[in-house]
Amino acid sequence: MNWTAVADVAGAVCMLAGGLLCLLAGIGMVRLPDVLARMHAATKPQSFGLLLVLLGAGLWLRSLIDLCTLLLVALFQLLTSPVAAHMVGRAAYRTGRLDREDLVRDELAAALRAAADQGPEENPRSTG
Amino acid sequence: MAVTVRQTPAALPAEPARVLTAAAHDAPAFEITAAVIAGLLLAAGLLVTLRLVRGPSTLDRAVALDVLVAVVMAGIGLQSAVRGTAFYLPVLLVLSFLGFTGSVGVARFMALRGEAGTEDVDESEGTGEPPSGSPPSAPGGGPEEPGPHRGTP
Repeated sequence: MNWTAVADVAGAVCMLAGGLLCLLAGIGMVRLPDVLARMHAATKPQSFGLLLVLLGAGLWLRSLIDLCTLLLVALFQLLTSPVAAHMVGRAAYRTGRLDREDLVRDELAAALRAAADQGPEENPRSTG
Repeated sequence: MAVTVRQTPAALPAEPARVLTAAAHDAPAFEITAAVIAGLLLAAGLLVTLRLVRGPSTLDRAVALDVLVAVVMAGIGLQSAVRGTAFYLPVLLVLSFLGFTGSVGVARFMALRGEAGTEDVDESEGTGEPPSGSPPSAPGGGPEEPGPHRGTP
């Protein structure tokens, strides 16, 4: 068996797994009840699903410059999507769009309380 | 004319490997696999679009837009893999670069609006006390309650 055939089959399997993760994220986005829970579903295709699809595409393309471009795409995706998730989650917490009984651990409440004790002006400025 | 006819096949074998891999990916099994993956991505995009339309708050729509960008990026990657061309890879690069700016802007806007106090459900900002902020969020979150109850069963 040729190594190109192995790479083709592996790329197909990777892309199939990535597509399944995207579909799972879609189902989770529809069914999950909360902004934070939907963010949990949203991270699946953003990081792992997209990485699997890019890996499969690299295994099918098999040229060095395309592999470098795909590596850059994966790197920037892994760098930027946590920033967006962080800010969206913080905004969701601050605007009260979550069920506080569902939280297992709430570390931001203690931090906000400490910040409010220090100075109320400093608290909204650090929303960023 | 005969010379030009012979020159064009001579110019073609510059990329025999590309032609060979394209022929290998035209095998029926790979075509069926690519069609299945495209169907999965299409279903995922439709579900995410449903959340984008139905999402009760702006943050839901921001998250849905992020997922939609990720699904579109996966589709572009699949298409460039199937066609064997690197033509769309810069599009992937730009999307991975700038795909997060929309939701960051929306989140920042929501936070600033909560700071200004023009939002009705933003109360944890004014008091700085999340436990005291949760009771007023019950009437404020009243119109958003059908969302979770529709989703849970």
